[in-house]
Amino acid sequence: MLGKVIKLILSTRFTVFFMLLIIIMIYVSIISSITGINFYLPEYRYVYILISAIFILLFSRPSRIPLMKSDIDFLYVSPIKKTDFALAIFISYYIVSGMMLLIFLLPFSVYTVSGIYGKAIAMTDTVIFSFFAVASELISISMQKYKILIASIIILYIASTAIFGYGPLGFIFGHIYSGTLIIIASMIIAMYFSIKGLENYSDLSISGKSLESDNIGFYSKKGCMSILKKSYYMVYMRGGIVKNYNMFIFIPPGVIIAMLIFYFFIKIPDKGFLSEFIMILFILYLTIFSISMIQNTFMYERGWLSFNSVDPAVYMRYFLLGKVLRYYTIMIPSAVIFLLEYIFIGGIYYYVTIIILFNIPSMIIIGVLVLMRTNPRQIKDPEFIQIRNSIKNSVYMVLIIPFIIINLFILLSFYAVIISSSILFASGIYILLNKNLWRSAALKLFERGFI
Amino acid sequence: MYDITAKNISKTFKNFTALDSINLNINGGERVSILGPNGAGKSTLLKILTGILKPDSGCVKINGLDPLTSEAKKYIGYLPEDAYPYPNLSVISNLEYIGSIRGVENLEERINYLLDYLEIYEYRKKRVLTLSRGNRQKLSIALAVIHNPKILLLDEPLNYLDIPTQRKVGDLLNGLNATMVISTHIMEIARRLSGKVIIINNGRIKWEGTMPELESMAGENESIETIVERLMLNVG
Repeated sequence: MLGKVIKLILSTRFTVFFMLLIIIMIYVSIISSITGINFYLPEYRYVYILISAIFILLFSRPSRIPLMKSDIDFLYVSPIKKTDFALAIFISYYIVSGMMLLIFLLPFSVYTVSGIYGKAIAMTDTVIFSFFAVASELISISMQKYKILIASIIILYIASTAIFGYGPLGFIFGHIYSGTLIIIASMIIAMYFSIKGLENYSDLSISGKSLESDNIGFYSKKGCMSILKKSYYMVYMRGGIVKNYNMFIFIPPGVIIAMLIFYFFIKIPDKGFLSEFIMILFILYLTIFSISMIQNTFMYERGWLSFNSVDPAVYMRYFLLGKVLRYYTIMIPSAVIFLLEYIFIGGIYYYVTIIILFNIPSMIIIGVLVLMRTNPRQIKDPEFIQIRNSIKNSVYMVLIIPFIIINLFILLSFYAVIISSSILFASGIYILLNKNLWRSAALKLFERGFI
Repeated sequence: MYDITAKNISKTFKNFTALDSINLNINGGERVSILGPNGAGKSTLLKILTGILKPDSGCVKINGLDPLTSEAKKYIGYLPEDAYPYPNLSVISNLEYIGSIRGVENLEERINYLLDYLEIYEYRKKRVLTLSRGNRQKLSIALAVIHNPKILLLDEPLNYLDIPTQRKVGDLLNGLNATMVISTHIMEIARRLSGKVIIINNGRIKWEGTMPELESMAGENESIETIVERLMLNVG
């Protein structure tokens, strides 16, 4: 029965081509690891931790366990063992987040230890670690409003190895045996709780629950201020519940990221190549973050209400401005940290400050317009969770490539910084000010079924 | 000047012709039902009149204005089929938000009146996604009429409503004295809410006339629904 449930769950979530893509990427990752077998670069331990932290933060974001409406309506009520169901859900989540983590981490695991035996152990332990990471993510998600706190504690637990040497990632700090034992134990405990959590998961459907919402207070607000307020405060997550947060909800994640960056730059002995590598990774993370913002901006909007109440060009631009303001709230601590790094250490850290302040917001504006005109998506019914992963959706991520190239181009020289940031910022401002572009974007949206 | 004018409207989606040379002239205060089977082009026509879809050819004027402009939008109240307001906002926040964007005067009073009239006051703090389909439809209607629109474009407005509520909503809509275009495939709803009927099928107008004209076509042994069906198919 377990096999059948797993097959059903996977077939409802992944296309064959998507699975093939993942397998090819794993293959490439293994080949990259083997080619690096002669290298020993212990500084990469920090990169390993940074990647793990980013993944756990990113994949702990969904507001509900990734179940589809069909799972809830048919599968959950059928006489299948809850453990089988839980395991199948775990595996489906592992394919999305665990395998992606593995693809990134495997090559670094090889660099961090010396000797064939140590490298083999590090690779094996990395596979175990990926299961621990996914179990942790699922535990965080099921903790609902405490999920960011839980994810942060888990990240601190992982990062503590960098301070003490011994810990869940001890295997990349040369403590092969104790590290292996700790990560196996951590994985078993985390998996036990995540499977138990999935078995007893009660937040299956939103309907029928007496979920009340605080009044946000749009009374006596001017129309444009209401749009800004809603856009800034409302956090929409994949198929999930939205809370009416105050702005302090956005500050802690920003400060955590900034503190992590600060800590790693203090910790890294070599200020040359590796610090630049971490800058590149940070830029990649920023780009992914901006792509996620671009995709989510209008996903939950209700065009028949909002675009129909005022000129859609006015509405869309105010709404976008709200998102950009939220972005600044989250990212300004990191911009400040990079500026401080530049002031106290030197180097080119302030380039990242420029990217945070000028490039990424411009990219968000440009990206939203491009997306609206090409491949807009709308979550019409939040109970119907769209979690099917197809190669088409993945190919769409090609959008990231030009963004990454532009942002990495900036690292070449001071002139590159000035030129690319000026062009991007000017384009962003021009697009934001141009009413006609947004009017035609709104028409395109409705043409493609947005309502 | 007509409240709503549509000249030679055509719309094609890939290889499917949704509307083919539609002409409409609707006077102020007139109530028109667009009748037609599923896929006839009713919803597309309403979306074009609202301005959220652009016709491939032809033009639409709302009070002489381009429907995309903010000025025209002040006049229009629109309710799509299976409307789903902001699911994660509470009932009252939805009304406050849209009322605030539209610049409705005495907003609090207007909201309380609508909540009370439509009997959803007790749900005002609930998130929309927790509402039943019927209550969600009531809220959608309240959102469409919050600004006392001069022109109402309604797509299957009485869906999911029980019979007493249908009557109440009918009274509310009639009480607005607005120009109304109602898309429906149910004859009874057309009869209750409008005085004029336009029957469309395959994107073309098949028949138009007043309700009494339509009723007079029915014989002793023939129901009005049969007449409408025949007109849709253009048989006989």
